[in-house]
Amino acid sequence: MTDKQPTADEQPADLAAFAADTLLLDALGSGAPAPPGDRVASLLAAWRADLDAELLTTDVDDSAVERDPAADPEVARLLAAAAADPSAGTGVTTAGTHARRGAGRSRRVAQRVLGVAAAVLAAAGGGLVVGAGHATPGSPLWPITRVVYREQADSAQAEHTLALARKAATEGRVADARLLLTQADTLIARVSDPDRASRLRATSKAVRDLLPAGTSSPSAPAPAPSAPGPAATGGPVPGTGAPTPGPLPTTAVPQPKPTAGGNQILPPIGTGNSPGLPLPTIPPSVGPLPLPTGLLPKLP
Amino acid sequence: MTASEAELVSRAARSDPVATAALLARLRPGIVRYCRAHLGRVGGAYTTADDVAQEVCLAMLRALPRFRDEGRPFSAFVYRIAANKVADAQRAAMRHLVLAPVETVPDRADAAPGPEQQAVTTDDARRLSLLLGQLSPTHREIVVLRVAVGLPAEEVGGVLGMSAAAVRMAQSRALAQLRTLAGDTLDEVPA
Repeated sequence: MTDKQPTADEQPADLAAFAADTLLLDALGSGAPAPPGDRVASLLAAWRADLDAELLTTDVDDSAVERDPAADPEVARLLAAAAADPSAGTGVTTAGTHARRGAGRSRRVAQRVLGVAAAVLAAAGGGLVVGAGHATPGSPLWPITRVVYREQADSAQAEHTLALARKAATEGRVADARLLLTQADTLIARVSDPDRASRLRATSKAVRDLLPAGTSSPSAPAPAPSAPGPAATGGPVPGTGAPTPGPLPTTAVPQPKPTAGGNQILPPIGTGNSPGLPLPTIPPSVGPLPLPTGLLPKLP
Repeated sequence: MTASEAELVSRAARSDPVATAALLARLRPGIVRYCRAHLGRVGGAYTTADDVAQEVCLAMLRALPRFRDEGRPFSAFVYRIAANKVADAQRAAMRHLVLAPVETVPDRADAAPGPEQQAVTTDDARRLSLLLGQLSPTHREIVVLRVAVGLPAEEVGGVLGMSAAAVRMAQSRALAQLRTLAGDTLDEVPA
């Protein structure tokens, strides 16, 4: 049988054999035991079982195994590793972790963020199931979106900011609306997809058209805690020319520092915890950072 | 590919993180088995293979936003990535000669089956991977994708650029060859 040429006109006996072999391989491929009396089938079944060995816990050989299997730690780890991947643009440096095996660099990066990712997904557990659909700013999966899919993240963040601006505009909070529009424009500038960017710009213009042409009163509280400056001073500056809140609060900044404890990624989740308030459109993990201008240690 | 997987893939390609996580959870076991099947145990453990499997998963995640459904199953996309990564690892192993032969004892405790049963299973598994090494590359790949990964013949065809009928024919030939080889080696080397 091994030397038979592959021809289209197979004999019925061959077709029956093909069908039987197909069923056998289908069964073995699904992890079913081999039928009795078939030596090769039982070898294949043993091989397949061996390949499955410790599959779930292969890379988690400590107490982390006890975690809820629904939040597959491997998946969490991989998503985090993808997020930390230098080629994805995040550029996380490697640093001390509980290195288990001295393998490649990517592995160490992956391990470094293991705890963080597990924490994120553990915290996001409910959201994983309930909050299906695209993660938007404020959703539990937003931190992952932000690092894994930056382009989409900027775009989604811009959309979200524009929605807030429109809301502010319709409610007569003109200063808020202007500030949000300014933030949105900064974000839109980072969106490289031309269709998406032009759509966002059109929305931005539509929202801006809702606003009165004059100056705005700064009486309303600033919605974004990370950018209080322009809210107080930016009143007389109309439209797109308004100053951006400065170089610090961009979404590209919050990379976890190598000194990480387990909580570095967690703060952005808090954006979902303030219903009723306008969501901060710049991740609050950036906002509270003081500019340490005077605090730089002297280099030896 | 089931409808729900197609749905998951398209959502994940549109950067839906929930779908991405679900897709990863669904595909990872097959990817791990694929890499283990090709790379075997090193020093008794699948560590190396699992490292490669992780690279495959990461490459898949990175490539996902660029994936366009062109009527080919997603598995074709994934297992071509996997084949490349495995080939890279094999070349690296050849260069550094770190890929030890398979006949080493597992050095990790395993709670699941009793030690005796485990030894028999591992022995059979090792024997089969030796037999697989004697197949042609295409036949070996078909057996790996069909049994180790568990893909249906249609999707294996998608990975290898063959029709499903051609896969069925080839898999029968591969099985027949394995039976011949097993008959020989089992006679020579009793268990």
